[in-house]
Amino acid sequence: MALLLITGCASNNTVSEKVFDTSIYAGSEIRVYEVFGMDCPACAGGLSKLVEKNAAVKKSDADWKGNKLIVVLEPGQSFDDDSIYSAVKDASFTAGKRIK
Amino acid sequence: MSRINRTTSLICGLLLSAFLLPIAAEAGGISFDAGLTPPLDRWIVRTQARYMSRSGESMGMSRKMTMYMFPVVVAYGLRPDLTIMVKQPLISSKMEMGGTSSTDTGSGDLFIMAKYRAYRINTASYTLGIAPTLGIEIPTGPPSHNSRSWDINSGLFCSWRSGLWASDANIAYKWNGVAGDGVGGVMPGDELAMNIALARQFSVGRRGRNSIAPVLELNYFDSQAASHDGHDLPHSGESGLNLSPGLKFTTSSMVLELLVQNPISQSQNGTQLERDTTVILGSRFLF
Repeated sequence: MALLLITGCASNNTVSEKVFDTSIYAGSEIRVYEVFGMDCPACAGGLSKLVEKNAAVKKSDADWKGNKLIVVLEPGQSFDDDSIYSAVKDASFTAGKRIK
Repeated sequence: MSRINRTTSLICGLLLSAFLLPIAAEAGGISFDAGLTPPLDRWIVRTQARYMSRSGESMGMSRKMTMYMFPVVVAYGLRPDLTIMVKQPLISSKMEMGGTSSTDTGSGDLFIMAKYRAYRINTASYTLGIAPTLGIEIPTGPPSHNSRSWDINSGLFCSWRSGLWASDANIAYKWNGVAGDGVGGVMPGDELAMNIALARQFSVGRRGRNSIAPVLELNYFDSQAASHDGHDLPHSGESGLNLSPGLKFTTSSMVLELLVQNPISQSQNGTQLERDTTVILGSRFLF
């Protein structure tokens, strides 16, 4: 059972890392949030569109299988997490904790 | 019944089918996502190509009706809990009987609908959404495809997602002829539709970002008899059940879908033609 859990967690992490190649944004702040309710690739696309309306966001991508939203900030920019939570709500999803 | 009367009856049945088929043509199909409203400010353009036919033989007279429908739907997430949709179908139909045929092409009536997110819960293990809809069909089509009838459509959609599994169910009722005088004074009967769908997604493509999903739907429809001067017409009204396998391919900005509706049970009043297999090819572009 423990092996199954470890395998499952490892699989999720791998998916998140593969979905978004963050290495090309070295030097930028990267935030990761839990998001529930994304059930297909089209759902993830709708959330990214809303998040990227924030001028401080350089790039965002959502991992619909791993329940994660990854946000890359513009260099030198910052914003309140509430603006992300608001976008998640506008997309009819539910925000969990900020992972990173 | 004399032969002349029976022939007249056959012709009436075919003509009634011609008028009523466009109205009752969309017996569900590709109904998933229905209970989940799109995000705020999301535009969705959905197009379908529906091929359907009806056929039958009576008194040695072979009859067939073929129809291509191209409904175009534009939906917009006006609020996170409210979606507005406009649908405009294009219709091309061909009728064949006793060695003669006639074709007709034109746009159909305009349909406007609103969908409200009444309930939605998102958890780590499942998502559940319930959304009622209310719409109106306005007789805007050209004479050949104008129902001359204002119709109200109301429905309830429910969607459940768990992991890579997706299931949807909906029930819809259409009150035909709440206003208007109908084609030649004929008012179509009300329609009831119920659909359930089950799909299983598989992630595909680079980095597993896209998904492909086999789908299985059950589509039930029941159309009441049309009426003229308050009297039910004998060659109208039907019910049936379709078993519909399909496939859906989804990316972050596009959905391609295919569904084949196979009638497994159907019942028509009078001398109407029976429904054959319907094929639906669809696409959705999301902006």
